[in-house]
Amino acid sequence: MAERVASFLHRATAWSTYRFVVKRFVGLTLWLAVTARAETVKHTLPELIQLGRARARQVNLAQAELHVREAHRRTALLQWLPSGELTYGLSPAPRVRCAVPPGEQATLDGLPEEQKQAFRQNNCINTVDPGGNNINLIGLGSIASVGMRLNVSLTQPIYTFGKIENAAAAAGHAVAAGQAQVETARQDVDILVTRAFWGIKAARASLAAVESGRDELHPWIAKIEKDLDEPKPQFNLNDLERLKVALAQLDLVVSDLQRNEQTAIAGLRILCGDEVEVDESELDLLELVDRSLGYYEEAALLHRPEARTLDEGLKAYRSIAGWRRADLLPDLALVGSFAWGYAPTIEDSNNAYMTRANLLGGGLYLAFRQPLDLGQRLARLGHARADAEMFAAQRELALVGFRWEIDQVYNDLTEARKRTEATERGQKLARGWFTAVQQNIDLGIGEPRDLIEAGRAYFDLRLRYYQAIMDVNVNIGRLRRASGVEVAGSP
Amino acid sequence: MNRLLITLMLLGTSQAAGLSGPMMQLKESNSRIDRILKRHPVAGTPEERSAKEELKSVVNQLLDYQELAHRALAQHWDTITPTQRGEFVATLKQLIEKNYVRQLRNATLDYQVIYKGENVADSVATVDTVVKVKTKGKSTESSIDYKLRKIDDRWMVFDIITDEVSMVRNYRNQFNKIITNESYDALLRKMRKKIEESDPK
Repeated sequence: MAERVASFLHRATAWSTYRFVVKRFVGLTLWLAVTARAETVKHTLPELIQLGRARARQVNLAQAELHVREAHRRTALLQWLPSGELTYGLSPAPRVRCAVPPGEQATLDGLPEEQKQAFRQNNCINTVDPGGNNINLIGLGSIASVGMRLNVSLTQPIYTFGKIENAAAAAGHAVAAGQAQVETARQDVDILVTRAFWGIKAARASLAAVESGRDELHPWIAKIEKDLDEPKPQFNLNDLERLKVALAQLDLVVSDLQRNEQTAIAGLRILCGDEVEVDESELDLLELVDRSLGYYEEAALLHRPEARTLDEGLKAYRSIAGWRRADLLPDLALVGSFAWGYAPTIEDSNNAYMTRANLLGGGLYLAFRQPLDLGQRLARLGHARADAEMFAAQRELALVGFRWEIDQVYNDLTEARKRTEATERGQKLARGWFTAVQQNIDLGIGEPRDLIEAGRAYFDLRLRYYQAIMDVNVNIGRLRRASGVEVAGSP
Repeated sequence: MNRLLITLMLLGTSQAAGLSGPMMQLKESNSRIDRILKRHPVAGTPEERSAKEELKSVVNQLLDYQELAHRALAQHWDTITPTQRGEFVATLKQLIEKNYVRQLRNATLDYQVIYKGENVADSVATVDTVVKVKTKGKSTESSIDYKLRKIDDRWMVFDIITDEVSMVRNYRNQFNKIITNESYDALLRKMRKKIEESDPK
């Protein structure tokens, strides 16, 4: 019995815990959903572009690469500074003194210690420990003081026959190319955001239009169904079926548009953040100043970031070739050195050719350095020139590609603009037709099948009109991307 | 959308005694009809009845039903008797009134009327307008041109051209088709049946 009670209590406790957890979970989920909705912020296209640029991984990567190139350029530029090194050392020093030359001890007797030491150093042909014994390893191990040594050497390039200049120029062009690549990455993001933005606008405007069409059909279907039950119906079954089929077709269009809208929103949020939403502005046609195809083709050569990348890349390759050529030639440099040593317990010989523990000295000279591995260096020069030629060819090919791309975008834009005009006029005419049919129906002299036909034409042209507006706006963005110049009216 | 357009077709018209040109009269009347439509009276209330009567009154003072009917019936006008003509004009008037009054409940009233210009030649004038209707996602612009004639000191509308479709021409085409295929009586019967159907509650 007690077990049963315990089991019941356990189950009751588990159930209440489960309910508690579920309620809290549901509450949390709802709270998160509400919070998420509340945090959605509407943005204009320029704002979304800025958000997209700030988040884009490809922009971050291009910027990181640019930083590397800037570091390379700094390295190249600083080659003009002197190179060299300073070495400072401390070491234990034994007590070492110059041995008195044989037979000279009597000469030193009675002299002050300074004179004795000077005599020993001037006549130093052997060194001994303070006891007069020859220095051995054990003697060296007896530390008497701390010895110090400082060596400084510096080489200042004076003339390198263009080595440093070419290296710095190559690095500078690489930086400029890197900057253009950052701009390329940004503009790639711009066009993706632009597509998503106008895609959402077009889908929503189309959905609103189609839904208004559905709203028109529903009362008609109800009216005809009621009429068909009358003894002498004004309509027939075909009228009803025609309307129902039209409604089903609109449902299909709605489903398709909803998918487009959701896809575009998902794309926008991946690019710009989960909390973003497009602003309330309408699907307006952007204005465009008419410019010739040639204008955009020429502009691309100057302003398109990829064109700048290619130009700078070619210059960088040519600078590298110049650098390799300079590598065949000598360098002129000013070389300086300084040395200082101090070991108080060691007596040095005054002989200039002896290595000293206590010293102070320096030197300055003009150095000429000529590499002799000319064969290998010539090969590297040939390689660099070939690389530059290959890059020049790649650049030419890419420029042709740009031109082709601009031609395509320009044609797409021209076609979309014409389509906008045609569909705008078409949908206006269809609306006039639709209105006329409605007028007739309102007077009791119209046919609902006419309404379907006019309505279908109107909504079809209206959706095409929205699609055309979206195409124009996106193609303006594409043309700006392809030409590198602002296309008037583009955001 | 087109329902709203039909409502707005008369938006720019009203009696405007004392105003000189047809466009000035249209502008003046715009605010008058606008005020009526924006009241949004609750259905079945005395306010709604008052708004309906006011709207009817404005529409009746604006539309030249006689001229509209004459032009729409065209050659058939001369084949019917004066009594039949009066009967036809009254029926047409009743239908148009009812349709406009019905819009009181239906119209979504977020729009802007832009007056583009007027063209007056003797006692006939044309006023061109564009109606921009705010709709979700993308506003629509419809061109609505009014044809008016001066009767005494008042400009009255006898045709409205919406998006290049003339109301007179549309009615003329439809009336002619019915009269030719059926009869004038059939036309009148259809119109009267519509009045019965659309009798507002």
